[in-house]
Amino acid sequence: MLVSLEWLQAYVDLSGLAPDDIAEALTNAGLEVEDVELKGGAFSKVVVAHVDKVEPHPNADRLRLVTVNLGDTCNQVVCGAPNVAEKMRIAYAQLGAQVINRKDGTLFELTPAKIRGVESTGMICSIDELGLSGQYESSEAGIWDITTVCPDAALGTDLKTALGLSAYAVLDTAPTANRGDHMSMLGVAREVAALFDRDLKIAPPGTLDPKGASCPIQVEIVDEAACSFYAGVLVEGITIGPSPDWLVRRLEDAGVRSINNVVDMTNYVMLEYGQPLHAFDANKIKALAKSSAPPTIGVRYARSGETMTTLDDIERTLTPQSALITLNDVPVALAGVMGGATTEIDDQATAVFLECAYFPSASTRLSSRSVGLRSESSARFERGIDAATCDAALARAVELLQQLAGGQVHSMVIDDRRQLQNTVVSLRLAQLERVLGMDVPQETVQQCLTHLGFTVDTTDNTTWAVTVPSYRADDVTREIDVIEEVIRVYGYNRIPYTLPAKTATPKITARQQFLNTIRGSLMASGLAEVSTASLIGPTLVEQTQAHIDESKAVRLTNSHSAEFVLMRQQLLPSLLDIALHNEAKGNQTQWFFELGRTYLRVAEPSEKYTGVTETLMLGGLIKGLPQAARWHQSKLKTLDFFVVKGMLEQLFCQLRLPQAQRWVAEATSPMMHPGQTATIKFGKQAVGIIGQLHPRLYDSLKLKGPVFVFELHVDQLWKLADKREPVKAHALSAYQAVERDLALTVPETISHQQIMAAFGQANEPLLKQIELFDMYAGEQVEAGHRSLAYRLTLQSNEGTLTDAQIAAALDQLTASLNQALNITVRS
Amino acid sequence: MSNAVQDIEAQLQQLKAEAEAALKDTDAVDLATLDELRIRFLGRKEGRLTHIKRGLKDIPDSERPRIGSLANEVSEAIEGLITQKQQHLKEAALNDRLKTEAIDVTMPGAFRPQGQVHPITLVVEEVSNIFYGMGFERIDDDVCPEVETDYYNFDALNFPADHPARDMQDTFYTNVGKNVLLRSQTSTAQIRYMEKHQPPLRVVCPGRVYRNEDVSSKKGVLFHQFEGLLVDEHVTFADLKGTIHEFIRLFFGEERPTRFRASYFPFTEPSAEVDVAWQPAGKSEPVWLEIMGCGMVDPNVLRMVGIDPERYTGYAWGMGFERLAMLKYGIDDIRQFTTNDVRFLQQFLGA
Repeated sequence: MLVSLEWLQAYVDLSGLAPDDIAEALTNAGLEVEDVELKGGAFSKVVVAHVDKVEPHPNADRLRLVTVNLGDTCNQVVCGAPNVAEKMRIAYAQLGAQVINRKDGTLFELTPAKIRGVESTGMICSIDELGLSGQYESSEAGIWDITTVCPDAALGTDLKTALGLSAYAVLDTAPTANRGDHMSMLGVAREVAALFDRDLKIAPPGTLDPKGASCPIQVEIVDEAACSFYAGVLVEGITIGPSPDWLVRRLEDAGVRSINNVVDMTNYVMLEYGQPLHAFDANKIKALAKSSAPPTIGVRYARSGETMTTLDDIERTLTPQSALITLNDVPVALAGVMGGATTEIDDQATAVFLECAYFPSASTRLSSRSVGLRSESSARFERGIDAATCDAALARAVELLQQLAGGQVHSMVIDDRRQLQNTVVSLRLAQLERVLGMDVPQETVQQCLTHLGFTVDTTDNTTWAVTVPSYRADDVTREIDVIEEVIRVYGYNRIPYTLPAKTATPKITARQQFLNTIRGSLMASGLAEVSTASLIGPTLVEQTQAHIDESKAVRLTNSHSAEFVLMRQQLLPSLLDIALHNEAKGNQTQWFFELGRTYLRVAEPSEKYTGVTETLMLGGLIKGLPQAARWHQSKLKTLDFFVVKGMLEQLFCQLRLPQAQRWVAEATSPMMHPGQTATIKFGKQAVGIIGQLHPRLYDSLKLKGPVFVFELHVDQLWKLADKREPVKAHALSAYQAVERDLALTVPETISHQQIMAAFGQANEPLLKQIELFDMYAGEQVEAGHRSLAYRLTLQSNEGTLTDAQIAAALDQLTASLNQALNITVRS
Repeated sequence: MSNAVQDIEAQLQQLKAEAEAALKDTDAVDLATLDELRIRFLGRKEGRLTHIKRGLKDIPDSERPRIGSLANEVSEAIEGLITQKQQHLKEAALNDRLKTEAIDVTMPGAFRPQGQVHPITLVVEEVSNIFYGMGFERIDDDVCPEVETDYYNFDALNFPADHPARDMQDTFYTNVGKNVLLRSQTSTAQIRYMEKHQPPLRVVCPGRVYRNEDVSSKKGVLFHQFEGLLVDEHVTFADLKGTIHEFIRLFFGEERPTRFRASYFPFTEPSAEVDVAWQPAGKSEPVWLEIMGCGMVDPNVLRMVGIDPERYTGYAWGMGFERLAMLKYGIDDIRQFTTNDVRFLQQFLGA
């Protein structure tokens, strides 16, 4: 809410308080002031002047030399504004004047200047340089033409005097959701009075006498949940017209546009008291009701399918949650949200029926949401207005209405179902220390509360009875709320800094260590960790041809952005998204990994269960050669499947995952290259995939290929890792190992993995290690075959191996190959 | 003295002189020539010394020991010369090799690809470590889902039904169910943890949260929060202030002017927002930058999870990692964290 200090000081003495001090105190106490805007005359040394002469600048086509007449003297100004013209009255900033820098809104001081070789004394101001664009209109760009604004002021008169301006600040406040009272000038005034120990100057309005003539318009609250107080006052003989300047300015300072005196009055009282009001055209009410029974205003919830047209000329379809004001059961307004078109006040209105009601917060919120319409009025009812001051606000409204538009009160009608009672909270004084960790003197506690309007009964010297003022009834209901009130006013900065004694010595969990190891290993392989959005959109899905399982999709129903509508089901599209960004920026080498979640709905939700599983995945995308220009012969010359596979093998080693990993060639997704993709399995458990992206895909994305990717289930790896035996060092063999090489010529259909399995089936105890050290397919090898060379390491812990032992072991191994795969080893 | 003795003596002296002469010319001798010379002079079968020593049988027994030892002396002398020469040659050969092996040590080393972790990870780790030191256990964020029910995101956190507090964060709702949303705050972790654990409690939980906002340089639809929770007997707001103050000191490496100002969160009472003083580039005055919300755990929240607020008090906070990282590393656009430009990421190498 915009709080003008010019207005505020009508209720509380602000003398001696700088706007920034008020802003800081309010902010510290919980009403955050986001901005302090200086209105009407932040500038100084600006006077009314006359343009006597406009001549071309000798050195610049777009600049002019302007002779400015200040009455007793003339100055020459270099001016670039296109609209400067002779005989124009202008706002002239003298040397030393403070005006606003349009770039950042700060004030700067004018100094003598030489522009393109010509002396320029002072400046002709635009309306923005004076900060007056909110208050005055300037029809054209460039300097502000004040010929019609100050036609009579003597030349040289201070502009502020000529305009009748006085400087004041407007605070842009952000009331928290619990403080309905902060949405009124009186509420802010109370806060300022409490914080600075100042007296409030709130004049109580006169009371309305409901005992006058009987009102021709009757009122009936039908649904009590929608309304507990409804008062209407019929005022006749009013004249619609413009509001006086002071009222227009106060409304504009508050960000409200002036409409006419009656509507402005309702807005003014809403801003002042926080009580929204509505003015119906009483004659329209009577006219609408003529055909049926005598006019009766009702409050009820809408029936399904009912419609009504609101003031903004939009027809609204209502639901049973929409709270309505009806006229003989026909909707004429959305209660507490917006009036209807049929009873709108227009220029011809001569009688108004002024509504002042209490619509409960939850009901108003649901109602406002049911039609998707929010207003200044609904925002106040939702936060909760002061039920006890409805009457006073109405009296104030009628008083102001008559002052602005004349007329006489004809009659008043009320349906009052409020159960007003004061909230009394017990405050155990010891609780203050227990919660705050400091001793607040009792007299301070009492003072803080009293300043805020609470009544404190200190009869019992350990537990006080604190009566909550009506305007805080919604948010102060408990002892802890009262304690917060005390410390809010006393100041959080007075609380000391202490540290609680340690109760435990935690350490990083095994799983966190596991995740750190993943990061460390992939970093060592040269991959950069990325963090991508877990929300994706149709464009990315289409671009990356990602398959979406709709039956399991978690989709957002209210996203503001078309590109954030779906919780991702795999990491790959997100990784491709950043690859596209980087490619566009010329970053061709991209070695990325991400630890991120994917989301699938798997069951029906209940109160505490979403039915959605979130899976932590490890994704990788590798394209391009890093530092390809490096001179050294050891540099990576090609990027292929095995470079990337090596990264994962290294990762599995670092994680001490079992050796029994299997790489099963299969392209599980059309996104992948059919001949260069594998599923990674440990035993029967598939943990992820690795492979080259389908060339068609990376070509269509205009990514320079090849692009390799992997995506692994972290939690499945973690389950494997969690079963690891702790590291136990074993004795080293005292005897030398022996290496023997075996060259196998095998059909291409037999995989390396099958050969390794066959070696393993031999169960040869002397075999310590097998390493594939060469692969050859070509001229010297039979067609459809390839030659694989393995280095076997044999070793015993019992003694040096004899030739016979070695030969026996090799026989055992080759026999196993022969048996399992029908491979004959040529000696 | 017999002629035979004189003759053999002369032959030995001659041999010695010849050998000395042959080994004197250093340049002409290489390792191969040296081997030839050794065979010529000292070869067991056909060597000159062997040949001369055959004459020993013709000299008198009385002279034989003397001449024999003279032959040995000559043999050792020649052997010495050869060995010396050999050493010299090896040394020279090594020196030659070292010379040819000289390299430009200023050329770059063999390339090892460099990776680095994401700046958010850096900050998560650093913040976690600070709180480990203060006795806070880090809960794995995997126990706290991002897709949540409004029970955990709102109800259990004391958000009144149909209250504008539910609009404080613009919440994403999903097609899964009317009550299923993307969590707007990591405070859900408080409830999930307290449902399963009794005080004393001291935990922190990092995680991803979502807000249905328009993306700008200051706001994204998702960001990372760090929830902290402490519940015990005799816990006060002063402890909360001390904990946060200590955190700021350790995180920024120095005391920073800090202010606690009153605020409102449904799940804490009293509530505060914490600002640190920050000096923006090119501005004369420091500004206050909000880094977290915090407060004493609302008694209603404790009651919801079956903890007696008359016995226990607690405090909680939630801070944004993006904001912390922006302050620490001088990052001016929050979108950098999800854009992941390689050049942006590489700046954090070794950080």
